[in-house]
Amino acid sequence: MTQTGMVGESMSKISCVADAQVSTLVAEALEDLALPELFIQRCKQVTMENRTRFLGFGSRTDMAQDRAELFRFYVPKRHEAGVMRRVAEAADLYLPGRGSIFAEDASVYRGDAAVFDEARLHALAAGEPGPAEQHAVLCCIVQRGMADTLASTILEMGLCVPIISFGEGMGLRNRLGLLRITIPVDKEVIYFIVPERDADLLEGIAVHKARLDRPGQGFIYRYRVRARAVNLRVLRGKRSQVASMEQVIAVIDDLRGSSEWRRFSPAGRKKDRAGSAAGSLVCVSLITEEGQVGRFVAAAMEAGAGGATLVPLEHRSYTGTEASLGTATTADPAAAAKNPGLASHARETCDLIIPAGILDAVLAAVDEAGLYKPGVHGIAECTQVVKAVTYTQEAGGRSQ
Amino acid sequence: VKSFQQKRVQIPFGRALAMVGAHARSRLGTQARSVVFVVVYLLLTQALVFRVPIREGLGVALGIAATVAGLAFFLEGLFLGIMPLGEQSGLGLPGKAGPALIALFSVVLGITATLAEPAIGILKVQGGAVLPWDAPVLYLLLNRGSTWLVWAVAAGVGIAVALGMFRFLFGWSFKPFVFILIPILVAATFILERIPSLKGVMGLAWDTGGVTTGPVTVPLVIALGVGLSRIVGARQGGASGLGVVTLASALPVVAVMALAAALAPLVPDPGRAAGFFSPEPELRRKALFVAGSEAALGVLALEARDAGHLGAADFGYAFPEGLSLDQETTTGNSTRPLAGHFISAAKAVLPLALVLIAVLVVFLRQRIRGMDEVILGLAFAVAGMFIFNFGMERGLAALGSQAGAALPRAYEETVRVDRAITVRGVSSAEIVLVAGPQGPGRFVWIQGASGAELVPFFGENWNPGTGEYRHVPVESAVFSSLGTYAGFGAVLVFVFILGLGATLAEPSLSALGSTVEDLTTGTYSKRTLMHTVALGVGLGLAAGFGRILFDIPLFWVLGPPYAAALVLTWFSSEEFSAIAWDAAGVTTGPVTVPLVIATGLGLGAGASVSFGVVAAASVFPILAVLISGLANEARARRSVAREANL
Repeated sequence: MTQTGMVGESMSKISCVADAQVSTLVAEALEDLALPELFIQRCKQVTMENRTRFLGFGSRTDMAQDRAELFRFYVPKRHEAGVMRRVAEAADLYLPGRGSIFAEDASVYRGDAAVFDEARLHALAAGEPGPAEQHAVLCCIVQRGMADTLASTILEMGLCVPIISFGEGMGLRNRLGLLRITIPVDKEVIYFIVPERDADLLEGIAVHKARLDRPGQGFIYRYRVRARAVNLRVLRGKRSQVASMEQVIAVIDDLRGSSEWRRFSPAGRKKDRAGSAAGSLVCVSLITEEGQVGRFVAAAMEAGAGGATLVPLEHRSYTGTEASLGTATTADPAAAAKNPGLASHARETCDLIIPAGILDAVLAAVDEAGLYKPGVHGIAECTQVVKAVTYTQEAGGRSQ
Repeated sequence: VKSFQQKRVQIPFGRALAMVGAHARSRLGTQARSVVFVVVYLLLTQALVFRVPIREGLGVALGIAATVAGLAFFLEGLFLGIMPLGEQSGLGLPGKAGPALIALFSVVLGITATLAEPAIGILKVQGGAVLPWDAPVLYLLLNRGSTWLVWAVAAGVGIAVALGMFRFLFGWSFKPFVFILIPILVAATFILERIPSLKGVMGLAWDTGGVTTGPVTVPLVIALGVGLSRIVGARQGGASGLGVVTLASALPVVAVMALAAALAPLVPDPGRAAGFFSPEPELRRKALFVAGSEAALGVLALEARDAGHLGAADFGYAFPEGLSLDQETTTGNSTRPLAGHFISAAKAVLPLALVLIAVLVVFLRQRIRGMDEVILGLAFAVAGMFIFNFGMERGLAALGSQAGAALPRAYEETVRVDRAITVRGVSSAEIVLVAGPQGPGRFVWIQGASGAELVPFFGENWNPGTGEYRHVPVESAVFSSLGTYAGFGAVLVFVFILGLGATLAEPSLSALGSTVEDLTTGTYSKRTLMHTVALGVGLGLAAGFGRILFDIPLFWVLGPPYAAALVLTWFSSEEFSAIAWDAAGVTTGPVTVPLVIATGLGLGAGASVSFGVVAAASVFPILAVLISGLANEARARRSVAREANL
């Protein structure tokens, strides 16, 4: 590795999806913890809703979309459980429909190490954390407009509540010259949080429904997380039962350890599909100031990475006086004094799924391209990927 | 730092052509679907309801095809070139510039946008029929003072863009702006409408606000705001970045009202033509101020005399020495030459783009992202606007004019001069008295297509010496059997559906819809926004034309809806308020406005009265979007609250 001026840390990456109605509570909880850095991604949670027809003539079930925010932040591993508990309690994420919170291990490379208020974290996020459940997150990237179809199928099966975000494709398209305008840049990124045993089924449905085994249709990968709260409410609306059906289902899921019991068996489904061994794939997320990630993706691709999807983020910092002003931290006070403008809150991220064997080469390439230089606010985050599926010409179809 | 250049993939020519073809088909298909409703509607109404043949069918068809192609190119240019430039400027400015420089940039951008805006010209066309003695201030603003009008509007837009940018920079709430501005504007309208010399200008002032925020300015300002608010951090909700269009619609109204109020003491009071052309020194001085010169006043007087507004005696009294002027009649072509359209399109797009490119390259020292794409986008935008303007004039606007001209048939009789016949052998024996509710009337027997017909007799059409009688058929109103009000009702239904259909083809609304969909991650879709706004525009047009038909003061058409909009804004979230009020500014664009004006002129409304329709078409979409937003938010709140109460 040839990284220079860069710090690498092993951290816990926590992701929290919160309905827009409660996202302020999450933000307040994180502000209390004085987190030095967090990123917010706009998204929506999709559920089915029973609606009464016009003048009360019967009812119909439609897909309902609720605005949400996906908070991404890093904490030292020892504080993971406490922070998740604190946030989940602050926003009542245990109630169905509010959101989910989960964590995974991440290696984070950046220019300067993040400084945490240990005393505060210890005081506010201490105590018995409670058990976290092993879940799988499946992240599926499809053409804009496809996500609703896929989400609807998953919801009808009662598997999980899909979370959808908008992004932009950055793979082959950027190498076509002006012809790129003929290829839609808009993508949708769908996250499914399911018990690990449901992951294969969900992946099969996603590949089939979104035609991921055909060229140019998209990509799906999965990783393991430790979930503290998962939004299980796949259906909302008028109910005749005292307890909601989802609550009953959730209890049975819990008792049986998965949702296997309520699944129909698709004919001809392969029971044991060969998948990549854990640890052979890595997700490298590059986070930079808005407008800059493109050149680092190009560097990573030069080093062997495949396509990527760009997602805009908002940066926030809850440390020091600057946090209250809502501005980003500036490492160089002299530069800040010279520059009359504001520090930017706009960031963007690209997730690249690469074989573990080329990780060092990719990290070296982005380092060489200046990811950790001042003004870029660059972060390279590496997490384990269990499996990835897309079409490749070599395999004549699906690649895993 | 090493820079990496991704290797270019070579696509074979045939495959590349297929890719371009598929892309073009998709874009053209989308635009064709957006205009098909209004085209089919206009054709069917004209052919089946008013039973008027479509004139210049081939030209109209070609025009509609050009409109579709123009819209497709323009929107592609908007998304590839103009909006990315705006967003990059918004993202780059706060990092390099202080508030003073941002204000300066915003004012320059606002002024450039207005000066380039072609829609101001549309207002001048609409004002072509204004008589100087009827509404002297209005006439002055649309003729000799049109430069003052444009600069007043430009100043309003410039200040609005600056205020909008400051709002994002300092995190000011959107609502206070509307709570302060709109009541002031409505109250000013109420007061100024009572001043005879300013009455006619109020409609113009409000329309200017709606019209100046055109198809280039709106997407650019939206992209700029979105970029800027991303830098600052969106703490007020996802859709922050919007709201500038509202200010850019409202402040020009203030500017035009102020300009009109300043000019009012300098012009004669509205009245008859004889008074306007009076030779009394004080009145003559004021009339000269309106006309601009002795020669121009003379031309006006001659026109007034020829049109019968100024009697021969009054003319002689006004100009005792007579007039010997080389009157240049501006007959003019009804259609603009192609070069004119091209210059207008280039003027609308390029100055704005150049301002942004200069700021990015010279001031911010930034490389323009996707330069090739931006240049292609700007070329598409100019080409698109050129083809679109040409197509609108020959296609939709022509169709709208024909349908508009046929509209009065809904509620009044039509004298069919084109079907006049001369019958011979008419003597006094053929003229009979027929009893009627208003007493007996004279009728005459003539030979019609299906035998003898008894038709109303007009003495001036009869030559007793030769026995010839010229019969001009009169067709009764289409809805005469249902009464006059049914005819008026039919007109209002017509304009409602027209507004609904035309709005769906508006390019600015499409750009706003895409932005809102992106900002809300699709929870408030472009389709929902466009349909809601279209419904509002339809209702607004019905209200605006209702005002013309029933002679309702402008205040009563704008006041109550704005009051309702303010109440709903109070209860709405910050972001839906901004979406709703911005929707008002973008609705009245290059598709709706020409159709509205064609319809207004078809109805034969006095020019000064027909102003205000665009303003009415702007206020109802605010109500529609606010109501839709409140319903959306209530559902979201309920869904979270329900679980908490379990």
